[in-house]
Amino acid sequence: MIIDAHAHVGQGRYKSLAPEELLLQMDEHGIDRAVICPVEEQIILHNREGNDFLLAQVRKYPTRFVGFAVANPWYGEAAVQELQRALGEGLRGLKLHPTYQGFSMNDPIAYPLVDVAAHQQVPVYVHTGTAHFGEPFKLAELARRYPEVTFIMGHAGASDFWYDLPRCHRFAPNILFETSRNGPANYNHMALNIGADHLVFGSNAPESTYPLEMASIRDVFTEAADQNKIFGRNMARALGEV
Amino acid sequence: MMIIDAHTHMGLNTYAGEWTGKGDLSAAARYVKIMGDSGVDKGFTFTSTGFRQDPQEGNDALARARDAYPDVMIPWGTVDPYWDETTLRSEMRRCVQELGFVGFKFVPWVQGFSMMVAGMDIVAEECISMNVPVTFHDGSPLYCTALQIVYYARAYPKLLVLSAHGGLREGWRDIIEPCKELPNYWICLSGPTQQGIQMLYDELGPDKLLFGSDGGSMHPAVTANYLRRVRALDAPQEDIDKILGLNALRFLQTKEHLA
Repeated sequence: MIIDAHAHVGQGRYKSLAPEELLLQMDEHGIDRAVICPVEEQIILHNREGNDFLLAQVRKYPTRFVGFAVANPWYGEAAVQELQRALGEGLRGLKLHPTYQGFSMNDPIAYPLVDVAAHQQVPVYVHTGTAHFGEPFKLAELARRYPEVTFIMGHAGASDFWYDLPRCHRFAPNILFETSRNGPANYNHMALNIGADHLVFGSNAPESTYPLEMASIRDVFTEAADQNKIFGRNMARALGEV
Repeated sequence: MMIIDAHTHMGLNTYAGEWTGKGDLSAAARYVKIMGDSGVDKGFTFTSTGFRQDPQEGNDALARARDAYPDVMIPWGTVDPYWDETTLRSEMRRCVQELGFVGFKFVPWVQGFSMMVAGMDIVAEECISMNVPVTFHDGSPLYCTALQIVYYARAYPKLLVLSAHGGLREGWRDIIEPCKELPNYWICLSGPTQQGIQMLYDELGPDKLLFGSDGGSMHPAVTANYLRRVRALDAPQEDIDKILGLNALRFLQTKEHLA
């Protein structure tokens, strides 16, 4: 079972990918399921539009797609209500993008949305790697406040914050590290300092391709048991399926 | 077709936290083996220790390694822009005129200096005077964003500048228009996302793009990763060949670009 823990679908300014095209790529490269989220404008402004698009896709392809809802914390109570609605209708996680959405993960503005995720027992995916708002330790601060929630560190701090990952892992063990935007050197660092139990494979499609992302992981994690964890089992566990 | 990796380091496997030798030739032997196993013929070879410890010792170690493997290593030196002017100019001239280095590499966030410090003006003067290029780690806060390097190139139009990381994962959009504008600004593709690499090619064409991996002394898969990424470009083979090696050879003919 291979699960892509992070892909985008929709029509955006920088990222555009039709769900059917993603499915073709998944079929071609043996990907069983993908966690999908909306693209830029829908992450920032038009949350409901993005969530409705995801809901349509997961209803159409229930065995292939898992949807993570978006909600911009600056919308306050409206964001909470939108997240509750989207989760209630079938999405299975929360995606936050502190850089696009303009907030700090350790600022109380984020807490009401994470409260919903905690209550619903769904994971929270957070973009990291961009300076300031995307600093991994900000996510560690949030994760330490919510030890019962599984957080997924999007892009695992790539490209400049890879040094910080072991300490994030040590002090916030409820964080999983998503692999996209990284390469073999960073994977080697993760292998030595974190281990395969805490990594989840993500493509960040359409930003990259399955062959490129998977080959580099396999170059470093050569044991089948480790690959099974990274490519599927760890994400299935985050989704409460194993 | 010759493959030249325009971004390699010798002597420190940073990501694994493993020193592979400060100056002894075992580090050079490891580097050469990784390059050979990867199918790479030559590398723009940068120091590792020189950025973190003594630049002059790093330069000397790199020169010894190049002497042992002259067919593989194309060495670049480094200096500390905070040195006094006499020492700075002297070491730069020693690197080029005595050690035979082809240019200078800097990692401002590791070496701890802003691109605006006075010593970097001296670096530019000396590089222009000796007709050698300079390359910078870019794409990282605080001292080497992609645009901080672009504006250095803009300030010195007779200085040939190579972006060593193409702005990394998020800075590559910033360098597209400047690269169109500035004849003295080239890009090594060790860093952008695959979408970014493709976009740089689509917007700029092949002629100012260089394959680079940031490998050498790193995990061998680092080199393989960026070879795969360049070969996966939606581009004719002729252009991929340029990026993999021909452009690197042309880049080193500095006088031709800025004449």
